[in-house]
Amino acid sequence: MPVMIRTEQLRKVYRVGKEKVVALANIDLEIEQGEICCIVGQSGSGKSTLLNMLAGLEKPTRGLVAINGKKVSAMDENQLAVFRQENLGFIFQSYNLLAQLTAAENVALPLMFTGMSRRKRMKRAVYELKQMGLGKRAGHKPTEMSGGQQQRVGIARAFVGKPQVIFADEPTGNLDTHTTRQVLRTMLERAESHNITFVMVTHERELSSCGDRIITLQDGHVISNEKLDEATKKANRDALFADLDEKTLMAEEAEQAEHAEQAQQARFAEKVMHNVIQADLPDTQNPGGNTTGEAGTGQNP
Amino acid sequence: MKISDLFRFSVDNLRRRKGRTVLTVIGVVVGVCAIVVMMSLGIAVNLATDEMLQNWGDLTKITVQSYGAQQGTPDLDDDMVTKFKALDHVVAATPMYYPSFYGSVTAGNNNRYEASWANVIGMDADALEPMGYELVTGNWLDGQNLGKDKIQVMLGVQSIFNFTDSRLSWNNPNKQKYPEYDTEEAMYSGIPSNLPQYDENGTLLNPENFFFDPMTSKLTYRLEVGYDDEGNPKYKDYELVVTGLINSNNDWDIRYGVVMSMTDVKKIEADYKRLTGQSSGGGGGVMYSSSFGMDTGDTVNVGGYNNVYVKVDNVSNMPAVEKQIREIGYQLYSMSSEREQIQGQVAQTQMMMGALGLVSLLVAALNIANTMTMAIYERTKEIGVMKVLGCKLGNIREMFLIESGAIGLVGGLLGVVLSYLLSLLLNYLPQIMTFLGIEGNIDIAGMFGLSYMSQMMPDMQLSIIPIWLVVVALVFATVVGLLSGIAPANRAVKISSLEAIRHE
Ligand SMILES: Nc1ncnc2c1ncn2[C@@H]1O[C@H](COP(=O)(O)OP(=O)(O)OP(=O)(O)O)[C@@H](O)[C@H]1O
Ligand SMILES: [Mg+2]
Repeated sequence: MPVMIRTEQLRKVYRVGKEKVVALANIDLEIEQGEICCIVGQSGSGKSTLLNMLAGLEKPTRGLVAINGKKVSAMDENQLAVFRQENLGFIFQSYNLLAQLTAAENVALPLMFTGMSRRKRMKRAVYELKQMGLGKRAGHKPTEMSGGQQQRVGIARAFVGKPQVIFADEPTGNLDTHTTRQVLRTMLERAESHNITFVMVTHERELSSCGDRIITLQDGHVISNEKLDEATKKANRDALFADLDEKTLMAEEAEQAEHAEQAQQARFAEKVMHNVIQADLPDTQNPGGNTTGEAGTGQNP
Repeated sequence: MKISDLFRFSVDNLRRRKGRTVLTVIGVVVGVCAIVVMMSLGIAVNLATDEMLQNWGDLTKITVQSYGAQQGTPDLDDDMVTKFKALDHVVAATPMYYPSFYGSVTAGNNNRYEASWANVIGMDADALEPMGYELVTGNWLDGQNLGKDKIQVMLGVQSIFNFTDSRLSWNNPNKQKYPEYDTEEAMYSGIPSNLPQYDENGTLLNPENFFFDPMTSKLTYRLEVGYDDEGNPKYKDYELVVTGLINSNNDWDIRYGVVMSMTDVKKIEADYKRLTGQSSGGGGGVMYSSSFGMDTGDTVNVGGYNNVYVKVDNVSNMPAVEKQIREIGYQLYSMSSEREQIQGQVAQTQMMMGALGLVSLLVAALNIANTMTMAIYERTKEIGVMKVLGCKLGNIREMFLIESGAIGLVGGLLGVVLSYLLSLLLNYLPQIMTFLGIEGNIDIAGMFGLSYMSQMMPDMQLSIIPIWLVVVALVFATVVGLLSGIAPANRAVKISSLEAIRHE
């Protein structure tokens, strides 16, 4: 597999007052195309710093970052903007959805920046939401959704532009265990099926085991960089997703919708029954009562 | 990013913060309104000034005077008139010559009707039409020499009222037909309501007002040429061929005059000199007024005509032509220089009032800047996210500029609407005040230092908002909005995306 992300002697030093904080010390990395790469380490070890630098959100103190052969570390802001539009997707720990926009509009946002027409991008956004099992939520605002749902919108937004690389900093940090697993599995499936390089920061060792590569940081140094073979990865994933059934989120939503409809029909049938019984009650000496009952039955789809 | 998306985004953001947007817009409305209404007052006063001056005299006419000229200025003679004609933008130049001979005009059988005081005016035949006089009926003078004792004239339309019936005694009320000033317009303008009127065929429509039709009657000019031995006046008669009736709303002399070409005036003048035995220097020349009076200081009274009229093609060219004539050395008089003075005064007041408006718009601008800055602080995270998702810096700047520009434009639009309402209110103020039973009046012209105006033009509009002012106000408000958005927009561009998306 060709190398997708490469760093050379990547170094980041923060100056806090007179003190120097070495967040990253001379890091050399290679991440291959289509790899699921997990960055782990203790708090303060430099995971976020590394990810931000890989994504070009922050300039290194020294060294080089190249994505797909392009020197990201040397681009100016506008070049980076275009590069991100075309090649990168982002998933944030705190979702970072725009509150005034609906789920679909949020997902379509990166496409809007590329100048795509509203009709076209909304279509793609809705498709992407369906993949995330949120087809029914396209018109909802973020405040009307749960955390897990919001993060699924955030994931749809990262995938909508068909990027080469997706960066995710603690994407499941705000979610409960079950949702975490669900969301994680969806992300992996979507990334792998589109051959997208996926770089994820997490502080949970357990979660990182699902990747092709696990990079462990400590005090700004890479202390381990292990590439898992397929068998180990499969075993790890089976263990991680043991509690989840096989269904995809989309299938799940369809199923839920069916349940809901059945429930509604059941409620309706009950109501009709109720009407009929009421009409049959002897003390209701109103012959029109029966007509009402019939009209109600007539409405039954 | 598409322009339509930029606009949608910005407008959505404005809508999201309705309360604050409305308050900011109100600031702009007040500022725009202040400026537009102030300007409209000045415009109305200026327009009224023009109208007033137009009644007083022609705005494109210069009267060059022989007195008060600078030392060494050449005489105001025919050569000089020719020179004036040759100046750029000059349509016509003519002396306004009042000869010193005296005569009367008679009409009817046995000279029954007589205008004993005939105000002969010598002018260039070619200049009459370009001078802007009105042809009531007939034709302009064509400058033709009709031969001995026969003279082409145009009668001032009001001179018809000078005739008296010589057969009636002076205490007979029918001895003279009088001009009537029975309409408001006639009283106001000083032009009688019963002037002769003709249809296009040259038929007099209101003959009952006059002794005769001057266009069809035989008229004679009786030049007085001294006295015989018994002390009775001697006359020389000229047959007058009336080519047409002439009128001018602002030239009383023309309205009452007997207008002849300079050639004919010179001819009569030569006869007069010959018959009265005066020696005529070169012979045939006009009796120019000689330089007389005391020369005071730097100025002299030069020879030649007393007054020469110069007609200019356009008011805007007046200053240039006036300058050239002044440079020759003459003193001159024109309504347009008068107008300039008044307009200068109005402009000054307008500027002062406009400055007040400007201050309020400045406050509005600060308000917009403040609103935008606050919006940017609130949206730091949002801006950061957009940057990370690939929004170009230019688009972010445009978003905020559109927002602030829209505040300006909407404020401008509402400001113009409000200004129109206020303008309407001002213009109907007298009616409204009478309706409410309030005494007194508002003297807007007085505010501009032209307190005489409201007396002269009692029904002048107090406030006029022309279309150009609307356009200027809208553009100005939008530009102010955009300008006040620049600093906040730059701040938005500088927001660190990393800082913004950092999880807290
Ligand atoms: N803007 C900054 N200014 C100064 N020091 C910084 C800055 N950002 C990060 N650091 C320092 O760099 C080091 C690495 O920080 P980083 O955010 O990369 O850690 P992390 O591994 O992501 O930790 P966590 O798991 O808590 O998110 C820390 O010691 C931190 O204090
Ligand atoms: Mg971190």
